Amino acid sequence: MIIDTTEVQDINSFSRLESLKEVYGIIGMFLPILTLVLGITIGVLVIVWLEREISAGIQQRIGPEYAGPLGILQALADGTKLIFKENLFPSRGDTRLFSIGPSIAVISILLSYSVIPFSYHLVLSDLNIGVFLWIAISSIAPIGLLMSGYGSNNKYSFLGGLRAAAQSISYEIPLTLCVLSISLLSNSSSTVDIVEAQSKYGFWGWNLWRQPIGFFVFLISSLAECERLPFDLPEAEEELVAGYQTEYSGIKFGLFYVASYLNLLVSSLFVTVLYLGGWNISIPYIFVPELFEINKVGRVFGTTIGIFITLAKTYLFLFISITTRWTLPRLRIDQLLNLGWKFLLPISLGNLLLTTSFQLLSL
Amino acid sequence: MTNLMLVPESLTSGFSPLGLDILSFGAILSGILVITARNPVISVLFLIALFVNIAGYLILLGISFIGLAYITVYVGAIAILFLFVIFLLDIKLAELHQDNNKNSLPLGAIIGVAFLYPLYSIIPSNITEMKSFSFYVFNWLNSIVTGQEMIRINETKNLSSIENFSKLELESAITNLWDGNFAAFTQISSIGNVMYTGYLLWFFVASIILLLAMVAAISLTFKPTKASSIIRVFANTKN
Repeated sequence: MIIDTTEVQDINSFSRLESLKEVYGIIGMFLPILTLVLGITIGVLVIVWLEREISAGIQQRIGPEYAGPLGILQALADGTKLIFKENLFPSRGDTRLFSIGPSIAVISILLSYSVIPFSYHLVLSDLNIGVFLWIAISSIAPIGLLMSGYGSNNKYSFLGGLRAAAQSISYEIPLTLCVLSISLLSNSSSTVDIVEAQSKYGFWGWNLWRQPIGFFVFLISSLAECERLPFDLPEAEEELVAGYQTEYSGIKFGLFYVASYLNLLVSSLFVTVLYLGGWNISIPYIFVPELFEINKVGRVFGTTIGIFITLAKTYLFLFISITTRWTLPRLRIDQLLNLGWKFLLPISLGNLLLTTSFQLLSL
Repeated sequence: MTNLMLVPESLTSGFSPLGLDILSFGAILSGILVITARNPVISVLFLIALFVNIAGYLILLGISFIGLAYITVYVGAIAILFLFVIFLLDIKLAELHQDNNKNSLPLGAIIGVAFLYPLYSIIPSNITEMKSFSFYVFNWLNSIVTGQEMIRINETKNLSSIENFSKLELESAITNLWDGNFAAFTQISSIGNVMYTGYLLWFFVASIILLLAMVAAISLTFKPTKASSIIRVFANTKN
């Protein structure tokens, strides 16, 4: 058998590629993660700017205007300021817990982004227990808050940490029950399958119409999970100064700040995925994947449009929760716990029961 | 020549025994730190680290639903309740600085031996036949104690890497996951299948016990209503 020199070269280059395969494997593993984290960071910066602008609009102020056009770079300026601030440690506090606490809070929220589908099958890991991963991971976050509250050696921080943990535990249950009814409806707990199940009849196929009670319970309890203003008891200024973040300064305070906005973003994304049909354009009889030809350009275009649709739906909910923050007063702690345990929990249980019985009837 | 053989899950399911070793080492380390930490809050935090390690171990083994349920139940509910209770304890600083955990060491050793010995005698040897560091260490210890190697390593060593594996004359290979190619049962649905058919009775018993606990907890928090307080007043006056 005679082999041409070009073929030898081909084989050689192929074997060289083989040796590079592991390197490419590692790059291929880290590149999507890096892209996702970068996108999330930009998303958080946009939310910070939006919050400043919307609050200024509600209070009839001008809002950020100096940093960049329309003050777009304001969030970046805030972050830079926080990075260069001095990192203070409370005397006699537990320094290790004080340092680990914020990072646990951020990491546990960042992990839950891995199951969110941003566009047509554009998801970091399509697990068949995707929604359940979010629930499991979000139960780790209060431990970070408890750690930082304990490590600060401050009564206000301590009480704030306890309150934060109690609040997120008690509102996790209605949240889980709502997610459970959704996965009952779509016969799967994978986020991609849940979106696919809503893609049939345009916006009439949304889970919002099939789960109106669950939708409102989910919205309220996800606001409480994020510790946003109607429910920001852990940081109630007149009672607890700033709760668990009282003693923090510099970038560690910035981590808490970022964690709260990350949590808000992930909750809005989950509202979009679970109730509003995710990446679907949601106009009846128009399917985005069918609009474009099946080639590379068409797929890239379709994916981009999917991302834009997801983000449009998400930012609608972000707008709603920011407006809620600047218009509604804060609850008392007993009202908060009563609302969670005596109202939302029974209602979401009843919703689960209704969903189950309708599923049984439709079988 | 047809070789129909069982491919170890380590070659197909995507986990490496090294990761399992790291996680089990972390679990043992944090388990030891739970005992040795003087501050009870720190020791509960190490307990949480232990739970997270074990959940990671289960997820890496492929039992991801159980692993996530482990995180939800143990970390999300039980460990946080522990933390709450310990936060409410009155811990003196002097107590934190004295050495008071030495007398619990023999107790721990006895319990550990009493638990591990039956475990290793019950578990069939092909489950422990995982080509990991802990397996070699266990085998070595076993050979020191009993004078014979429990499992012959050389036979299993042939399959330890993909290069050796591909040299085998192999026509078809199956894994333990072969049925997943025909019908994909998710773990949740298979757990549900078992729980609502074979173990229905135990499921009912467990749910009744949980209901009882919940009713008891709610009835503890009830304020006395007017009727019951009147009865109490009458009872007092008769005495």
